Amino acid sequence: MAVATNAKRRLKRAGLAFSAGLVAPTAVAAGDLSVALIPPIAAAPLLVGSIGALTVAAFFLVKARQIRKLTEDMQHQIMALNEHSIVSVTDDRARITFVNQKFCDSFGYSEDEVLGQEASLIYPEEKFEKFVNVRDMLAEGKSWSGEMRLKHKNGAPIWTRTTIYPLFSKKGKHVSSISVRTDITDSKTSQAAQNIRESLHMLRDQVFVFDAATLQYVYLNRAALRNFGWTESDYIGKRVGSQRANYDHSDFMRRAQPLLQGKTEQLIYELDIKDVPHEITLQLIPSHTGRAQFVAIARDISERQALEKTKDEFIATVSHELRSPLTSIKGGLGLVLSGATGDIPDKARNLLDIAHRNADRLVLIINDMLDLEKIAAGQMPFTMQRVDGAELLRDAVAANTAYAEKYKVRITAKGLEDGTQIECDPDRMFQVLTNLLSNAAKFSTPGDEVVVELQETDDATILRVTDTGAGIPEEAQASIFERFTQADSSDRRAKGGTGLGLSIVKAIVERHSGTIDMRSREGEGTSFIINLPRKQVETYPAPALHIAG
Amino acid sequence: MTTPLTVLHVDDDDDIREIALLALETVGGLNVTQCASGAEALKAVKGMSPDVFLLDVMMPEMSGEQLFAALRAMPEYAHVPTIFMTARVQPDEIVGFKELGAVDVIEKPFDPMALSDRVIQLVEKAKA
Repeated sequence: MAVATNAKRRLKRAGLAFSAGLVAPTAVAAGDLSVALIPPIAAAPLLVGSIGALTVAAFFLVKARQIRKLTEDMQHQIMALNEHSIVSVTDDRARITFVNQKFCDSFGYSEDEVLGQEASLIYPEEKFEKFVNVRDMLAEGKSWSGEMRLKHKNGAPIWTRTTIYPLFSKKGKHVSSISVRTDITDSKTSQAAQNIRESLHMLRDQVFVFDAATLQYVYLNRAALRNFGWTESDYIGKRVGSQRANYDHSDFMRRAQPLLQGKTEQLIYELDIKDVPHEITLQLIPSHTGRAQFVAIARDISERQALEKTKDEFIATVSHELRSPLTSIKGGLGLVLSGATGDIPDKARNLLDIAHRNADRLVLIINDMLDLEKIAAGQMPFTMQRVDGAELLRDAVAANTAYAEKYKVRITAKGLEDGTQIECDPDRMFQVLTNLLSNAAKFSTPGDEVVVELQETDDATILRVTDTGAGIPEEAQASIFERFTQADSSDRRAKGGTGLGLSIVKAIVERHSGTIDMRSREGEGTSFIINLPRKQVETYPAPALHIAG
Repeated sequence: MTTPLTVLHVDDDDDIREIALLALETVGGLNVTQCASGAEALKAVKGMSPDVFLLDVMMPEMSGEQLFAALRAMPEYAHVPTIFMTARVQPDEIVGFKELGAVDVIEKPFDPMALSDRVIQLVEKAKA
C-alpha cells in the first residue's frame, strides 16, 4: 500500500488524483469527507425545524453513502487495473512521476529507481526514436496505442500492448501522460516458439528435443515422428531409447558428460538409424523453464557417404594411373643417371637430375594426398597400444640422422630416462615425429641442433620438436597446418617438401584425440608441441544415442 | 659364381617392362622373361624353371591376383616365390597380397638400381 499512498501524494501534487483515475480516493471518501460532513449535520436543528433538520441530515447521509459506495467501486476497479496492467505516469517532459507495483515487478526496478527518470529508461536503445515519436504525439494531444518492445532492467525484452493518453490543464497545456500496458511477453515468446516449431517441421533432418535429466521427449519434428511412425501426441511421456529394451540411461549420461560439464558445445558422431547412416549433432541448451534440454539433429548422410566413396575410388584410381607413368619416368631417369646406358655429358646430367628430383616430389605428393584422404575418410587403420616413449624417440632420431646430416644438423633426444609410456599407434606416431624432425632439420642452418623431447604431465604426454632455424613468419603461422602451405612456396621447391606433411601430422595427432601447437619466432626457431591425452586406448567413443526405432 | 635368378616378369605396360628389363638384366644380371598379360604368361611359363614370379596387379582381362592363383594351381609352379610389383600399396592392400601367399610387394615407382637386389633378397627370404 506504500506505493499507492506515495502515488496518491505525488498525483495530488501533479493535480491528477481523480482525473487520472489511478489512486483510490478511499481516504477522501471513507474518512475525510465523512468527518467534513459532521459539523453541518450537528448544526442543523439550530437553523431549521427538527423535521427539516432530519431531512437535511438524511439527505447528507444518503449522499455520503452514495459517495462512499462510488469510491469503493472505484477503488476495486483501480485495484483490478493495478493487478492487470502496468501503469505509469509521466510529466510533460516525459519524466516518470508515478509507477504502480506491476510496473516495478515487470521491469525489475524499484519505485525510487524510476521516479524522476525519463521514460526512455525502459526503451531499448534502438527504439529511442520510437520513444521520441510517441512523446511528440502526446505533446500534440494525440494518444498512442500499439504493441511495443521495451526492456527489463536486466536487458531482457518485455513485450507490451500499450495505450498512452495525454492529459492537459484547463489552459490546454500538456501536463502529463498516463500509460497503461499489458505484458504480452509470454504470448509473444510462445508464438515465436510455435513459429520455430513450424519451421523445424519443414526440415528433412530429424530433430529431437528431450529433457537433459530424464531424457523424456519434449519435441520431435515431423521427420522424426515419421521415423517412429508416431503422431504428435505419441511421444508425450516417452523417453529416448524407450523402444529399446537394453537402453542404458546412465551410460548415455556418462557419454554426454562433456556437454553437461560445458567442456564442449556440441558432439557430432555417426549412427545408423534403421540401417541408414546418420550424422548426429547433439547440443545442450538451457530452456525457459530452467531445465536444460538436449537437442539432437539426425541427418541422413547416405548420399554424402556414397559421394565420398566415389571420391575415394577416384583418388585411388588417379593415384594408380599417375604412379604407372611415373614408374617409367623415374625408372628411366634413374637408369640413365646411374650410367647403365653409358656416359652422359655434365650439362645433360644436371637437367636429368632436376627431372629425377621432381619425379620424386610427384611421388611424395601422391603418397601424401592418399594418406590425407584415407585419414579424412577414416580408412587409415590406427592400432593403439602402449609403447615405450624413449624407444619411439630413439627410432625416430635414428631414422632421421642421415637426413639431418645432409644439412649438417644434429638431432638430440631428451627426457628418455623417465620410462614414459605413450598410448598411440606407434607407426603413425613415428610418421609424425619423422615428419617434424625432417622438417626441423631441413629448415635449420648448418651447425644447428634439433631437439626432440618427451615430457609427462598428470594427464598427458608431451612431445616437443624444437629447432633454432629461421622460424615461421607471423603471417604464415595461422595457416601452417593447412594443405599445400609452407612459409614460402619457394621453400617447397627448394627443400623438396609437398606442403602436405603438417596437414598429415595434425590429422594423425587429432585421431589420437591430441592437439598440436606451433610456436615460432622469426630468426629464433620453431617448436611443435604435441599433447596426447592419457588413455588413448579408451578414447571417447561416439555417444550411443539410441534413437532408432 | 652362383647362377643368376630366372625371373618371369608380367606387366601390361610396355614402358615399365622396358625399364624393368634394364634394371633386372642389364643392371642386375638376372635372366628375365617378360609377358604383357596373364594369358601370355601362362603359356610362357611352360618349359621354364623360374626362380621367381614378378607380377603387376592391375592388368586387363586377368589381374595379377588371378594370374597368381592360376600359377599356384599348377603343381610344378605352386612353390615359386611370387612378388607383386604394383602401385596399390596401401597398408591393407599389402596385407591382402601377403595373405594370398605373396612373398612381398615392391612399390611402383621402384628404384631401378635397387630392383634386382630387392628381388634377390626376397627370394632368399622365401627360401629361408
